[in-house]
Amino acid sequence: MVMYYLRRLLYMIFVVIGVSMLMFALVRVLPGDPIGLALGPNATKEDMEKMRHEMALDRPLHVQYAMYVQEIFWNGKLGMSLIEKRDVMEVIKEKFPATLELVLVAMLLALIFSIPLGVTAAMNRGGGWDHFNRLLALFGVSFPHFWSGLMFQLIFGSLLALTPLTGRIGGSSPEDITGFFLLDSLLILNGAAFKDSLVHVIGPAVILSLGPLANITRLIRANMIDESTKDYIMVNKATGMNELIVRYKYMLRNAFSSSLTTIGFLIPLMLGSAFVVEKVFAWPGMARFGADAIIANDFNGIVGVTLVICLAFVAVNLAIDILYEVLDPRIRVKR
Amino acid sequence: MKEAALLKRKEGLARSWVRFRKNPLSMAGLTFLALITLAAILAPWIAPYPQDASLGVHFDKALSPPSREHLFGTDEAGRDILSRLLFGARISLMLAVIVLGISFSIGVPLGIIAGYYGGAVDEIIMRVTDVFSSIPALVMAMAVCVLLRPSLENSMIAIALVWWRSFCRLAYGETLSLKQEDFVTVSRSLGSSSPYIMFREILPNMTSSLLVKLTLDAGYAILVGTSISYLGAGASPPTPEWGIMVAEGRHSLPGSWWASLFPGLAIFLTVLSFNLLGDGLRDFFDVKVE
Amino acid sequence: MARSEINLKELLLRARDITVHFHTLDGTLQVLNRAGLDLFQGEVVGIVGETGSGKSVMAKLILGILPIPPGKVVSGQILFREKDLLRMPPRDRQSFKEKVAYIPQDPTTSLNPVFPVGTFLVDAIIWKQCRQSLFRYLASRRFGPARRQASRLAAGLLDKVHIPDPESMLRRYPLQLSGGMRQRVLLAAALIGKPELLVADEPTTALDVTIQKRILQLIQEKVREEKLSSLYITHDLGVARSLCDRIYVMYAGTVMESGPAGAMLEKPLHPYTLGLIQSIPKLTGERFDGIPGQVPDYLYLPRGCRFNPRCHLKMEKCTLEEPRMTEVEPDRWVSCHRVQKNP
Repeated sequence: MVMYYLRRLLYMIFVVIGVSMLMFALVRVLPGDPIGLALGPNATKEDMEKMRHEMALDRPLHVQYAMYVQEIFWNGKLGMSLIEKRDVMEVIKEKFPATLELVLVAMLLALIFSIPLGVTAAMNRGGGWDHFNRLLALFGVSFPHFWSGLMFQLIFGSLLALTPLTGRIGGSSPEDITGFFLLDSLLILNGAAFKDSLVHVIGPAVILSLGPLANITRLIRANMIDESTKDYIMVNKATGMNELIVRYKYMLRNAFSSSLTTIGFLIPLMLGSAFVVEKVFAWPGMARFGADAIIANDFNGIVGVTLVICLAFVAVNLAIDILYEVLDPRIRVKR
Repeated sequence: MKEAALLKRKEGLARSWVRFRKNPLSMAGLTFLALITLAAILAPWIAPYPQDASLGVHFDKALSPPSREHLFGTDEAGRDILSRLLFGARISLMLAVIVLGISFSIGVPLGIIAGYYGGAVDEIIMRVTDVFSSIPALVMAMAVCVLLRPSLENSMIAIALVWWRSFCRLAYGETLSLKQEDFVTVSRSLGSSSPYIMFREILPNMTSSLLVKLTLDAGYAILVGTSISYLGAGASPPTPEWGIMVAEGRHSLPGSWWASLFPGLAIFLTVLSFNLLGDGLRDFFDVKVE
Repeated sequence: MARSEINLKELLLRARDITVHFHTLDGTLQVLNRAGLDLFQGEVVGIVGETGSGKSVMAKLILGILPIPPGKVVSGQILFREKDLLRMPPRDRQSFKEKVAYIPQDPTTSLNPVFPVGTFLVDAIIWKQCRQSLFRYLASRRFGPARRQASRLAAGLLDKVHIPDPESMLRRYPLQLSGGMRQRVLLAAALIGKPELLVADEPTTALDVTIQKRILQLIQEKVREEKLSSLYITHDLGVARSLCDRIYVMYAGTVMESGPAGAMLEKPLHPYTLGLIQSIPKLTGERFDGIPGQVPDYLYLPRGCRFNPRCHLKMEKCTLEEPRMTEVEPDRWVSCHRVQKNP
């Protein structure tokens, strides 16, 4: 058992290293000139040379990479961000909670709605709910986030004036305990801040949740249908047990485990979509910084953000494995 | 004997087509796609103001609402949105074709090779694929595109370079299960060479999965492509690309809503049709493809 | 048991004229064709047939677990003590399920692998006590005493089926049990809440031969103890002979012959029954004949009697008209033109 996890860990490390090398090389090979962009048009050649030397851009690529890795482990720094003018690690630490909060709220929304929808669609095959479910699934993945975000802002922000257009909070942010505004405001019982945060997060979260909602609901539906043909469910039904119990306790358990892998990997995917959503809603998160960094050729920023996403991917992988063991005793017992 | 088999196959195909026809969603998708493709091809002839697609500017007509002269209104440079949409269709559809063409050609052979040979080849190819897979497509494509210098063509190349990984994985998975099948063993015992088995025996058996994937991915590729352009890393003005049209129209919100609404709607409907069609095909072939 | 004796007993279950269709993308499968059976109190009735003969469909229909889309009951009625199961309101149908016990065929797939064995038993016990009220069920689950009592009852049931150390067995997972053990657990589950009717769908087919006999004996023991009437589904004529009072022989969704077990197997009237008996390989090494041909594809059923393509006594009438069940001798019913011609 320990060996298994050790192997997995090694593999994960390999992937992270691979990604870091890939992105590192990619950004260094760029034809553009970020130094020029960062210093502005009045920079002299000496200034540019000086900066280039400071950023070690005149050293060979593998030396740069070694220095980079050393910086991470020795000093916890990810390099200077050209657009933020401070260390990328600092920037990410500041902005990541915002993105995480957004993604988690979106995932929560998606799960709350998609699971009952999927179960109901599966149990009423061919019926109204099933058709609705299918349409929702197809529509949900077809929206370009920048457009649906815009439409949301138009309708709910402008027209109905129900939600604010952009930003994470209108007033002052609550005391920083976890970095999650929603949680923090609850913890210090600040109702106003909670409502403020909620009304700000709802727009981007809803838009971000549409894709996963569509995917999960179809998945749950398919898995529930598979479950319904299983013999042990027939045995359950033969005892006359209430349908709802059979569905939500006995069938959903297995259906959900089967969906876990896909659901888990939706999280890194959402991080990608967040690049667009955060831009549209001016959400002060890591993804918006990432989008800006890419446009500005801020390579430290780009590599830093990609590394974090890669780590998230790896973390999700591990989390899924652990969850599987919890949910499926077969794996637990076999080990 | 062969005729009987052929007949049975035609019968089977005919039965499947009837089944496919019964699905109103897929038919809707197919119809709409056909319409869009037609519109895209005929754009230069059916667009009411073809010059608006590139250099025509009429600032006097800037941001006029939908009317009889301009069915979808005009944008901030006074250009007819409908015409630009039609030309935008060309761009997006072309993007889908190019991106999928490239990534298919890279990913599928790699996947088949990895699956067929196994061992070290398998490990290397699939590990590389894993590394490429751990970053969301949009992020990586944007990064690559920007590094190559932001432009429409480069965005296509960038997306293709990112997209091959899922084709690789699909082909890999299919190869793994197909190579256990009897016809492979028979073929091998008859002395067929490996490339022959891989590409003339195994590959044709995954056409249904590949077809479904191509259809669905066409939609997603367009989503990624337009997103890249929206963020400013792809097409640049005055190209009538749907993504930057939405970005440009954003400045005039909420007053001139048509400038952003219609291009986005076009994207949505196109992607939706690909999804409808792909979903229908998935049922039709009875395949499990995400 | 002769007919005269049976008349004194109560008619527990009567199925008449059951026709069931299955709608698939490829077409409509007529899986049950005017099938019917009678079950009297205290009897053991067997349904015998090959795989695909529709016997499981019949069982599932009676149990109420046949998936209704894509299945559809085109006609027929199933009377349980005069009440038609097929036309009951859903709530009553659910209560009926409490009176029926079900032993499924494959113990490997009949227990939910992610739950300990006890969970299902305890839930079923609590549910039966709560009498259809979901609210009461949820409430009971919260409180310790109801749960503990149910656990004790569950352990008691496991003990009844001769499972050693029942308390710890409740916490085990299905994969930790052998096939025989699992089947015992399923038998225990079937006995929850005083059922009157037992429906056993080939309960020993998936077990090793050595275990089969023991499980069969256990079932018989419980049937006697709890005074259950039972419906036994099998493809094994030998088992049917030893266990059942009366037998129904099914082929392609139709009942071909029925009658008392002993008499029927000694002197079969329907050509199919005869073929079945002759197909059993004998230990003496005699040549045994199978029945030529194959079970029909439910999409392309033959015209007339469904057995006619394989019947060596086929007449022209058999390919045109479907025969009806007629009582050819006292308590011997056959669905065959040839036999009906020669009473």
